[in-house]
Amino acid sequence: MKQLVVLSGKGGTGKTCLTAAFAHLAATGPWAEQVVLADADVDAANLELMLRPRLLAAEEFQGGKVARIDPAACTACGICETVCRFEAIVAHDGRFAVDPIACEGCAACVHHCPEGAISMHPELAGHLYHSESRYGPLHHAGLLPGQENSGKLVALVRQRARGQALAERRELVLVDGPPGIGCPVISAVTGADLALVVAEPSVSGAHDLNRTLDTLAHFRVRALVAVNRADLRPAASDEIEARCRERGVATVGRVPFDLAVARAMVAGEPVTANEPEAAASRALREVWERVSAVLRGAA
Amino acid sequence: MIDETRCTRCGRCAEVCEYHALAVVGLRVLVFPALCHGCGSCLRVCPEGAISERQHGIGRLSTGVTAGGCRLSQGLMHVGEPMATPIVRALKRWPPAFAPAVPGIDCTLEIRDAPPGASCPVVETMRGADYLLLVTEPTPFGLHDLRQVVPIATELGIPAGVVINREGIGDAAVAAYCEEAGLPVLMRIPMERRFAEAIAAGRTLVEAAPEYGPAFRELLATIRATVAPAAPVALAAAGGGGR
Amino acid sequence: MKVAISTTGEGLESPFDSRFGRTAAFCLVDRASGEWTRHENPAQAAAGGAGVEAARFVVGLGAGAVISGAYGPHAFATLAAAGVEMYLAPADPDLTVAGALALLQEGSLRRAEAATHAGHHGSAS
Repeated sequence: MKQLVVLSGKGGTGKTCLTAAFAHLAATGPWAEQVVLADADVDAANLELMLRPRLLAAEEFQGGKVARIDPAACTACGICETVCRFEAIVAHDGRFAVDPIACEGCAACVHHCPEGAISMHPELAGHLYHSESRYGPLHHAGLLPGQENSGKLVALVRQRARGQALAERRELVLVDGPPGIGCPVISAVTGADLALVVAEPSVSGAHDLNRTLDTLAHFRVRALVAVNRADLRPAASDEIEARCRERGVATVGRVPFDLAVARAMVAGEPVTANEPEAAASRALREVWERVSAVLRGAA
Repeated sequence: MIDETRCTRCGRCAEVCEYHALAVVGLRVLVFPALCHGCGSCLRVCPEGAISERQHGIGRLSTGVTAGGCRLSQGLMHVGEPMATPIVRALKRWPPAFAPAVPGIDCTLEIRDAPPGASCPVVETMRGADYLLLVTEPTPFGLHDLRQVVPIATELGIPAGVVINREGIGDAAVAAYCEEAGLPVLMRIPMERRFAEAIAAGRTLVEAAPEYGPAFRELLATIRATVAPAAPVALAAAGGGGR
Repeated sequence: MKVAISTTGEGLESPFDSRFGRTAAFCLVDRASGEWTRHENPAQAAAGGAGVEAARFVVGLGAGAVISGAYGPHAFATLAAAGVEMYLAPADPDLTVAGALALLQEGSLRRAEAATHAGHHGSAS
């Protein structure tokens, strides 16, 4: 069983569109019936918008604990406010309350409250979903607005996808990863067999790409790079590919800027299914051929 | 840091740590800086006063002045660090970040560029702002992400308006949602290849299309009028991925 | 000596789980008598520091050795400090808890000499 994670240095590079196209190409090619999909970009869980899956099950996801002050026991001494380093204790008319968004869950206030008026409570942070898409089972999640802890949720989504792949002997787990380099990304890449980084030929593209590649190197995950919207700045695309060569990272192709991608998004279809002959679709098929060859080689 | 000569291995520090950044095993106390959120609980509960703190760098703040005379400050997280929120929080409080670009001239507008999505660092960026400008696109993705961020604006009690970018590529669902949610659509920017090329080349939209200058001035004037005329404005711009 | 073996299931015939910090459970087996007990891993859904919490948990169970598939830096440091032997078994979907134990008994499991991967939270140390 192989785990492929699709990543990007920042949002909006077309990562999810590419993942949806991969799901389509994998499930309609030699990996048919072998794919399990995971949307690990839980802050912007968009893969389902392109795959329109049928929901099979939903369950609540408890996030970190946050403090709660029992107003009946609180004597408004204000000690909690002085020990909190996250400005999560707010005073209102001489009463104190916890701002659950600012609370980091450290429980310092709990340990210091002389009245024992503060306790920790897990907060509903979001939901885990299990769905069936045209291209295979999909594990995804939704965070409630303003919730953190997406690293933990990412780990759970991946764990579910991996578990189903192992149980049903499916060969490929395709993960739509979160953008950036923070906790959710780390959670999405650790233990993956291969990462495909979607780069953009923008001014910050090379910089964003480098940070993502540093993260992958740090966690010893093999990386491949594809350049999306490459024709918007061919010289910058050349530079990205040259930088990759210097780092010993293989590049697997260029996808052109193509309005067919946006049309497919609105239609709720992968572009390779919606307009198979569009320039972007042709390029994506080539990219997928190269990525899947590497995946098989890594077997 | 643990002063081994004073530590009695009582284990109280590991008990109170919600992040498992400390472990007392046998005769040793292990400290894992990457897991520490810096809440200070361990040093306060240590009966021997054996724990002290040292700074653990997770990122870097920097500031400068753009060619146009604006102060530009940024926080950059070190690779492999998990938490961006403390960096956002520190940047908001860092005095040099808001020093006037031209001495003697008061800063009256602070624009924060928020991360995408609706997670903790986004909320931290938005907190304390006077107005939120939500940048989206007229697609199912844009609508999905907008629906995530609007409740936060409501909860924080900050007025918000929407900019629809890449107008023309999608459908009318975003505009319909804005109407239903009572969010003003302050600006629409059409999808044009020349814009995409300019942005990729690191130029601003107004540099690529000077005819948009007045529209942006008007946008700012509208926002200022909504907030409190003549007061300093902290504006946070948030959106989905790369809008 | 007691051995803690990471597992996704309920007992000796359940599948071996190659994760340590976020394994579903540990099967604690007495090598001499063969008696075993199952212990839910409290760290499975930890927000962070799962390796440390799981390591403290198995140390608390009195395990002298652990069989798992990988040890992050925090788990490794904690188990090493407690003098717990760490063995590596392959991430084979057909491997059961009893199978992993048999491999240990016949001496064909490798000892982990260092953390097998960087931590989930990316400690640079």
